[in-house]
Amino acid sequence: MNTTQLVVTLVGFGVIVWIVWYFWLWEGEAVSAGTSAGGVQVVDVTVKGGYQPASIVVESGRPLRLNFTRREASLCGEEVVLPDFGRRAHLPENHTVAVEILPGAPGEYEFTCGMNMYKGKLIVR
Amino acid sequence: MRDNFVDPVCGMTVDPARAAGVSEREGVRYYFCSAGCKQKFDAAGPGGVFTQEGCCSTAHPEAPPVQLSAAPVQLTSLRRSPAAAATQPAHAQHGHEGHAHHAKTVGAEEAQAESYRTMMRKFWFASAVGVPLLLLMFAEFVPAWRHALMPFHRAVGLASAVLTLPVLAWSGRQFFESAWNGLRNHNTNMDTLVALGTGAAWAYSTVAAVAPQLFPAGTGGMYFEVAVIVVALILLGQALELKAKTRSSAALRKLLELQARTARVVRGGRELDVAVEEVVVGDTVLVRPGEKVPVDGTVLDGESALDESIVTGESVPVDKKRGDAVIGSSVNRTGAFTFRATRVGADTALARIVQMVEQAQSSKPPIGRLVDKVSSYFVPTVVIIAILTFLAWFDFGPQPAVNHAVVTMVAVLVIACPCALGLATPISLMVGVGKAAEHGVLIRNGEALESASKLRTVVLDKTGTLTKGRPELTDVLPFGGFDEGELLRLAAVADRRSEHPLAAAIVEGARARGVEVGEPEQFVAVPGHGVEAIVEGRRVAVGNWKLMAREKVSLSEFEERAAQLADEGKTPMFVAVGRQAAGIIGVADTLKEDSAEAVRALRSMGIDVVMITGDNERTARAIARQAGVERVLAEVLPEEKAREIERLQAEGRGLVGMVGDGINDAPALARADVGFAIGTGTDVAIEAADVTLVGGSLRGVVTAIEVSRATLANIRQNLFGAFVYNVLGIPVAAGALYPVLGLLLSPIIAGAAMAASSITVVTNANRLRFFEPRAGREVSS
Repeated sequence: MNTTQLVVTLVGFGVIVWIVWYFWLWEGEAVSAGTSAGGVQVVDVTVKGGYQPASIVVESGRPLRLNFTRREASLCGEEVVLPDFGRRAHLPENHTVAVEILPGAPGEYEFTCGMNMYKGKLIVR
Repeated sequence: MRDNFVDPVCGMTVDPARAAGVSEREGVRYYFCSAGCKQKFDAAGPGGVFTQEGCCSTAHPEAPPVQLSAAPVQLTSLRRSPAAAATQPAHAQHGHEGHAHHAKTVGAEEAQAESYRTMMRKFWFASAVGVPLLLLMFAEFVPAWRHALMPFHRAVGLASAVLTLPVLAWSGRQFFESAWNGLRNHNTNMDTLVALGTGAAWAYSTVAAVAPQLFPAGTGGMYFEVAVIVVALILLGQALELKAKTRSSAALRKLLELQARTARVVRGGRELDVAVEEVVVGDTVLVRPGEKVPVDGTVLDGESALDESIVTGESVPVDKKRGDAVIGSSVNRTGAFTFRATRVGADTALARIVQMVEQAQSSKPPIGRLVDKVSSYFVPTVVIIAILTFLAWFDFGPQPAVNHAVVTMVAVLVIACPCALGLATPISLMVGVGKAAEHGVLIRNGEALESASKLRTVVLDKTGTLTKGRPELTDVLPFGGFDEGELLRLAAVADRRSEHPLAAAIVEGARARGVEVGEPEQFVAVPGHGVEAIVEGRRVAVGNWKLMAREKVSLSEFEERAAQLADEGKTPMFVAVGRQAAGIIGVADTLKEDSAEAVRALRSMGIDVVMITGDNERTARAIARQAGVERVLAEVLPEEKAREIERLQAEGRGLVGMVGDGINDAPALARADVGFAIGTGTDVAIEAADVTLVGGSLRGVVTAIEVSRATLANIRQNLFGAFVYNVLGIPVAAGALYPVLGLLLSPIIAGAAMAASSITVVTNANRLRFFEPRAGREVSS
């Protein structure tokens, strides 16, 4: 194996490691929910190629309102599902849709798009 | 969408750039079509009510004056801009939400229709470029033509590169954008594969066209057509999906259109016609015969019979007197009355049904998108395999190593493009849905079809679904010396002038039995009781218990037989002649001819059948017995039907289907995993449902389930085939056969293999065309 091959191979494996890390292992920065005057936890989530923020820290036992706004024409993010809470909402483009739930036992709860490709999670503490 | 506004005075649409005037009130800007409108608006001050007519019409220079009301009028809801719609709180509860809601629904629909048109334009553009290229590619397979084209090969390639770039840049833009957005968010999706596949195909082909000397012999092919056709097909699929969704939201608009548009209210001793949105709680509303009740309320004065079928689904008019509740959108049949408005806007029974349908539709799970469930692991895995392929060829392959490496990498990306996988489901669906349509079963989409194949419970609405939905004469029981013919003739003649459906059933039944129905000498309809008439010089009364009590007719002889009729689910109509009991006529909503057979077929397919009805337990049981249904949910209020469906779903015995025909069934139809609407039912029920049974027969439910089961089996075969193709195709594309057979898969062959797999899938799907549902065979035998 000559030097060029070695370099190319290393770069190739580097890219593979990067793909594994970037798409599978990466965890976004967790964002804590703000609290409204009525004591409801509120988080604005933008849907554009994924969820921003994708990790949300919320308090257990206090109602949570997730304001989803879909900012893309792609139909992928058209629906958001919170399987553990049995909730599903249709997100029209550029409209804000509020999903209200009551976080229960502490733990991590996933929310995804209708096809399970966009993923986000609620970290209940 | 253009940011147009509605003139709050006349209701005309105004382009802000051309507005004749602007006023600002409470932070909201209003635009006017004319100076006159602005003047009126400013003069009215806060709380002004505008009748929205006539201001701009020269025919009515003296337009109705601006009326002032104590109620706050929601002028902001007249702004119909998308921004205004978006800022409406999701669950705002105030009296005029119905109106704002309407605007919001319409706005969203327009936006969807616009995206559909854009997608179709992009599709046609991609096709216009792609199809000629595809034909050219086919031409290359004919040796003689290939030879003739040879000198132009490179020129054609360069021209193709230039022609296809705008297709990718415009038609395919959304895939690249979405892939990029996903990348920034650590996500991959279907668009990533499409972008990678088409992008790689284009880039590779362009390099091959510009610098063919870089490629090993036989691999320097171009496949611009692959890039463009893939974009076109995926766009077409998405556009069709969008269209199906637009149709479903039209149901909501229809429901809202059922409302009365105006109401006649009494304010300050004057009768005024106002828009229904302007009726407030506490208003006194006047309703004349034939008009719709505008909002919910309580009768203040007058008596009448109201057709509430719009909300309750029951066709028999309900008698109303002082103190009774009336439902908005029901139709006033006989008398005039006034009522006090108790619920308006978003609080009315009809508005609540709209909300329920909307909720149920948005909470419906998207099952059946098997292919779309390709998890987030698929795409990165394919890319990793492509990189490994590149490295393997680069490090260990024969010379020229770089070229081999590039060719195999692109072949992997192209072959992994999930086209066969993508085709597997829709093509079977298309055939299956077509097959169902041949048998009078219209299936709205793939989701409905897949869900129908998994149904374990089917809930049947009673009135209009299991039964014919209108009363028919069933029994004639004479007493005291009268014979059947005479009793029927006297009752039919007495009832002849009545408009009540029960009376009509008696008249029709008598005629069907060959009775000559003449004219009564005198006739009086007693609302809520029945009729009194003079027939052939005799006093004849036909009606319910109350009428008999009023006529002072002894009821003792009636009791036993009446109870028996009621047990059989029939309504007893008593007949008295000259204040003497003459007999009972039984009227009932009877089973459709094939209902029992359909129930039997469903049960033989392992499906639990449940009947749901607002009727009393006794009537319900009687009908259920005749139909062969064991489980009965009786006395269910219209708004409870959807909740009963949820309860059945919560029992965890698989998917639940609902069959119904009325508007009151619409929420339950939308809530059920599969809603079946009887085609002879209301438009709204049909729109809310996933499946429409054109013939009106319950046998369609059996057909729908049979066809869906067959189609699903076919889809599974197709998916299995496509999956095998991918599992085998990727290693071959990566060059796994090269060391053994010296075989290298050119991306063109990868494209051809893709076409072959598609043909296999299409052929398998076509086998469905020979499928015959059992219900269909029973019809013909």
